[in-house]
Amino acid sequence: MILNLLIVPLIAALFCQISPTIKVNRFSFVAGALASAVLGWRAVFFSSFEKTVFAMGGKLLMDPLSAVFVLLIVSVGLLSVVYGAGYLFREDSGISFPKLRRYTCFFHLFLFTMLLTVLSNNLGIMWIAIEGTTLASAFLVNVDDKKSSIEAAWKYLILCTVGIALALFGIILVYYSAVSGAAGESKDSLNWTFLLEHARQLNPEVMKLAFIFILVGYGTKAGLAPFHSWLPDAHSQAPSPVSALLSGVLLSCATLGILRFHLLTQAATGSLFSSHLLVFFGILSVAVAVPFILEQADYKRLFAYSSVEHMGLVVTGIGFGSPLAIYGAIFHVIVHAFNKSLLFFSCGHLLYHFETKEIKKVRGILRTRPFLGVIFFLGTMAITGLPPFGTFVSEFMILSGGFSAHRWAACGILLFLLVFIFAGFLRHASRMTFGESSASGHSQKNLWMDGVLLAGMVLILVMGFYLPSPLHQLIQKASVIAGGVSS
Amino acid sequence: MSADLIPSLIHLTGMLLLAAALAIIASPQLFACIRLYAAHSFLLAATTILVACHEGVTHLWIPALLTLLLKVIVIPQVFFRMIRRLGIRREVESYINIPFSLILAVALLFLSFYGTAHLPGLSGVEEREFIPMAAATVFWGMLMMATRKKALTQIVGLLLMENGLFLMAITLTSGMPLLVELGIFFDVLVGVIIMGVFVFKIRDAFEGIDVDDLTVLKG
Repeated sequence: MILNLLIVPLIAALFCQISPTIKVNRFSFVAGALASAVLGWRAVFFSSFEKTVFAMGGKLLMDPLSAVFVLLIVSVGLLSVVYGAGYLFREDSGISFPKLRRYTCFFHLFLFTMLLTVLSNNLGIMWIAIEGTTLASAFLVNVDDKKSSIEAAWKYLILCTVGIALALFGIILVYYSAVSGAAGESKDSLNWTFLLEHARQLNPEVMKLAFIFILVGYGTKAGLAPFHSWLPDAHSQAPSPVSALLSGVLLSCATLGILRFHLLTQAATGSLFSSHLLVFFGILSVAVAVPFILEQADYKRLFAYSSVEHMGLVVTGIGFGSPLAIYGAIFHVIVHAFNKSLLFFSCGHLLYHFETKEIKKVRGILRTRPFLGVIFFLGTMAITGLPPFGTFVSEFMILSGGFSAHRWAACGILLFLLVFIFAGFLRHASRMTFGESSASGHSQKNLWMDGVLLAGMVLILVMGFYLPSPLHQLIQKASVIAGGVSS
Repeated sequence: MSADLIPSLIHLTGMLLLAAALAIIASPQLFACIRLYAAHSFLLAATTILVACHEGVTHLWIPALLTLLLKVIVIPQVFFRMIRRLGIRREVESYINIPFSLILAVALLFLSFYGTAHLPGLSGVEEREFIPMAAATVFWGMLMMATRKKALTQIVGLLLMENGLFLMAITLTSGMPLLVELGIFFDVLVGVIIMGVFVFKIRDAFEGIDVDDLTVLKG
């Protein structure tokens, strides 16, 4: 099951690379994503998770926690592929066929590396996969070879590779504390499940040091402040479907890496050391995002900084550690993925209709493009955590989980910052949506692109008040794992 | 052959590794920088083989040979060809001058010895000695990436970091599991190739490979 899930994107990448015409290319691009999605959904919802499934001699695993992320990768992946099939394959996109072929191939490779990240039990393989996501997506950030895209891709490559090198430092320390400790050397010494079982035998001091390196390393990739400087550049320069995937899914995958090490550290030290660090960096990320959201001139960068904020919220929720906060954090990962990808898709529409990324040049979307205007405005309100959308529910859970864990100060600061973020978004979104129109670009509609927008909107609205019971059970089981041994 | 010949050889290569890494930071020429990187990698392979003999870990031979092949031969050759095709000036350009970078490097070395000195759970002289050395190599790589102007020297800094991590893995834990080790090699090679492609793209778009020209994106 796990291996099938991993092989499909590889085959799709191969077909995309060798396809002779643009039509075959587009077909294999979409069909590959559809096949991954169907396999992924089947794996997630038709297995009962009474016990964790392993593959490749325990090096890969699928537990409820990774199932949540598989669900996200294949679903948002499918939405992005369908959107991309409309957005990049339109006749006037100005992207040549060889570049499209490269794009489609790397897109599926990117999906593969993300799936490998969340499915790996061996921490070394997880590291290799996360480094792989950087390498695979560098070419996706730079599709058009413009100066700004090359600069963004270069910064992304260099900063994330350095960050991830530091994470490797941490992994070596973890491996050392496993091998030198009472657990002894075995072929499983780097497996997460093995380490968690033998966590008491790991050296607590070494694990603390390792966790700091991991937090800095994977935190760079997850976009936590102050290591987030690559993120707004890459998110604003990448084509919209890629930004959607980077922001909605990739950041969360890196957060899963942090979460797994957090659980190890928590079990090994028996202290709140890692939780405190997570809460600190989480709140710092939310705080750093505030001024950039309030005074932003570029709407794609606006949503990029919003991703910094939301990763901060997720990490804070994990750090709070009460069952409700952890449930909220995992639910937040899901709703954020769909909501943020919806917003980046609508950025694609905006760029197509208005031909600018500047907020002040986009006026009166509602007047000329009512469909886009409604979805853009509601989506932006949803991302600030306004009811009745899913983000409201998840942020409410994180905060009330924090209050029940007696983190009064942390929750107070968060609430205060969230109000500012809401004000910033309301100001930008209402100026862009209402008033006289300034549309200058293309006006024809694209069914692929509009369909994706509608689907995304329905999803985030429905998740606000109705959660299907299999999904609820999945999140429930995942949050039991993410709660660790102490809760 | 006396019993402690191999440990003392490991000490020797350790010292040489440190010297080679410092020389990379100190070298004013791009070509010399890359040759020194090759030398550093060669010493790394030698250390790996010595550890493999000393500890009797046979699977370490594969990473050692791969280091020889990839980092001593292939990657330096890729660099030489890139420099020729790019047609760039051969001097290393830095935001801070070389004596000052050396002072910073020494400070980082002290910092890593000091920082790891009180780490409990480390036994044995080798571990006490190699952890700070490996950490210092990683920091030096970061120093190079932060202060050098050319995109190419940034890649050298990254490779130096990676060598530091490799050194740490072999001396601390006799190497990571083989599959992981191979995966890391694969990532490094692919990473160098992709960054190489981007160096050419930067050259075409910005008419030079100075990264301080990359200032379009702000805020």
